[in-house]
Amino acid sequence: MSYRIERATLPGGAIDYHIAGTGKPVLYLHAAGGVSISKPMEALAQTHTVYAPVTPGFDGTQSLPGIDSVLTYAAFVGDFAEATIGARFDVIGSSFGSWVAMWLAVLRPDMVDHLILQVPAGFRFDGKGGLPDDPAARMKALYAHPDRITAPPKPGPVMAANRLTYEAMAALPAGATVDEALNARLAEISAVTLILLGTEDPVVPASAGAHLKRHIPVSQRSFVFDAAHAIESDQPDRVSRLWTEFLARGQGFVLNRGAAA
Amino acid sequence: MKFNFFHLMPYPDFDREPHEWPVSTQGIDSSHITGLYRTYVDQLIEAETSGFDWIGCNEHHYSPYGLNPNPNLIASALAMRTDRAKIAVMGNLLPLLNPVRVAEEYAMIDVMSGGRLIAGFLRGIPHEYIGYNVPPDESRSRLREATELILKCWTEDEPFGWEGEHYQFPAVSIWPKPVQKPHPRILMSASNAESAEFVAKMRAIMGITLIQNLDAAKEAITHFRKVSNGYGWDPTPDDILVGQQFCLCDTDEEAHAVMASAQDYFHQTLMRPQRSAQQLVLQQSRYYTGSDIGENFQKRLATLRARNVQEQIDAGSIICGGPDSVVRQIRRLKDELGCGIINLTMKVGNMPDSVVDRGMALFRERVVPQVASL
Repeated sequence: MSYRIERATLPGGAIDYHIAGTGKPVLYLHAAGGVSISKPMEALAQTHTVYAPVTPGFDGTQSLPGIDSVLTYAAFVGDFAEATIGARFDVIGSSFGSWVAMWLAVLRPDMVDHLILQVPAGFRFDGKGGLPDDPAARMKALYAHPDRITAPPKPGPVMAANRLTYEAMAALPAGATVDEALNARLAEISAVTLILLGTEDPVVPASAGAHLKRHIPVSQRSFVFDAAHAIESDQPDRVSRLWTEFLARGQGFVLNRGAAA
Repeated sequence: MKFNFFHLMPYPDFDREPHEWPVSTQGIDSSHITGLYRTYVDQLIEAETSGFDWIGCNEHHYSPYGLNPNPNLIASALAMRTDRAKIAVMGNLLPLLNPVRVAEEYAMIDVMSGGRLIAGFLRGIPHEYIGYNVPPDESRSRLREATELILKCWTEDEPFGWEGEHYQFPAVSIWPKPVQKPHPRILMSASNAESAEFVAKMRAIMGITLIQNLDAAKEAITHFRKVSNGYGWDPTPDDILVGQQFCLCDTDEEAHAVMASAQDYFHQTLMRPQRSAQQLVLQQSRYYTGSDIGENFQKRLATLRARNVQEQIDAGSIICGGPDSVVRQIRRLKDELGCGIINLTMKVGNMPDSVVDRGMALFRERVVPQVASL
């Protein structure tokens, strides 16, 4: 199932998005590296219609005036979804995308059905977590299995622009490592939520997932064994299984149905 | 220097030379084993007042080799009847078991004992994979995944799921959590380079047993230290455990004679039935891989079996003799290997319990005063 790129023109500006598949709609919100079509995304498109918007300023696109923070982008995503996807859909976020997804679930609770927060950014406690600056350490933090990377590398200027855009949008008040405004509203997330973490991920430590689990009212979290931050790349089959089961069965995904499945 | 009174809990009265594994129980009176359990547990409890810092046992299945398919049951009895000694379970054979259940049982022991558990995470020996129908090829990957899952069970307050290669648990939150924070010390085998890597990563106590000679043991420990440095820590003597069969009598002559007889039963009766099953696993699976192929459990046992008692003492494989000789041998291990914990198998084979009891008394009166400060 191959993805194609389309463009939506909204009052706030145009946004590109990748789309593939048929079936119940899923909004996929990418990480700070931009959109990379992973094996789980390809598999998901077998059973769902997947929309993966490109955050303005990422992957060679132009930034949009007024879309300069996670919060403003989340509101813009809500507009995009209303115009392009429909009234209600599932949401999968990855890292930066999870941060956006949480704000979307707060701002537009009517829209978000199931919510999957992969390695969610925006909550770093006690000085733990974050991407290292050293390139080798950064690579190790992202990938436990770099041999499994399937997405083609992006040009250096694109990666640099992605990083600048991310740093601008994700900027917090001086000294802060937690999005306190979002933190204060986590209890408003009404979507049934699954938080995914990699056991080898130093970027988003387990404590961040535990905090979200504690404060999002209907939530579960799972560790994906032997995965660093890029869990879709490190463990595509495990991530696919979790996505499929959770999106199909919600809270019931914890029940082993044996042969009945 | 710390000492563990380790009990293999053997069946000492088997009157045949068994030829197959699993071993038949025909003619075995279980009520006789009731008495053995009482004796063995009493010995372990007595060890606490005989100068031993740890008391412990381990897991084996389907034979008279060890009457302890679940050492956690024995450990729970020890936890309730002792006050000071560490309860060393050496260990649970993680690849054969449900890791969440192991986490729960170990946590219970830690809580029941007030925080005295030493948690052994072991791979086991080859033939036992037949008994629990687990592919031996998966032994290392199961050990690794189970270890990490158990640590999560112990340290994560919020409920979680686990999506792994061998284990999938969608909703876990064990009650109670261990008393020791962040978690009880874990102990793992690091007899070869491959296992040392993971033990170092886990910052576990490294255990080494079946020593063929001190140079090889020293090499393994040096390697473990080096690998641990790579993971950002420097093992102390308290992070290195060396296992030895042990016999302490009033004289060297008596100890040598008792050990020779006990080892004869150990090798000819207790170990014999396992050989063919082990051979099957070794020939038809990849239980041993990489650096440990030439240095496997069976080969080390065969080497030790071929040596007499004095040769084993000289090689650093066992500790045996009167009090003065035993003190010298312990000092030598400390000097040569830098270990801070010695695991003493106090009842070897069918060694009479009167010898074990006398050895404990001699240990308290004649050995501990000279070695405790090492």
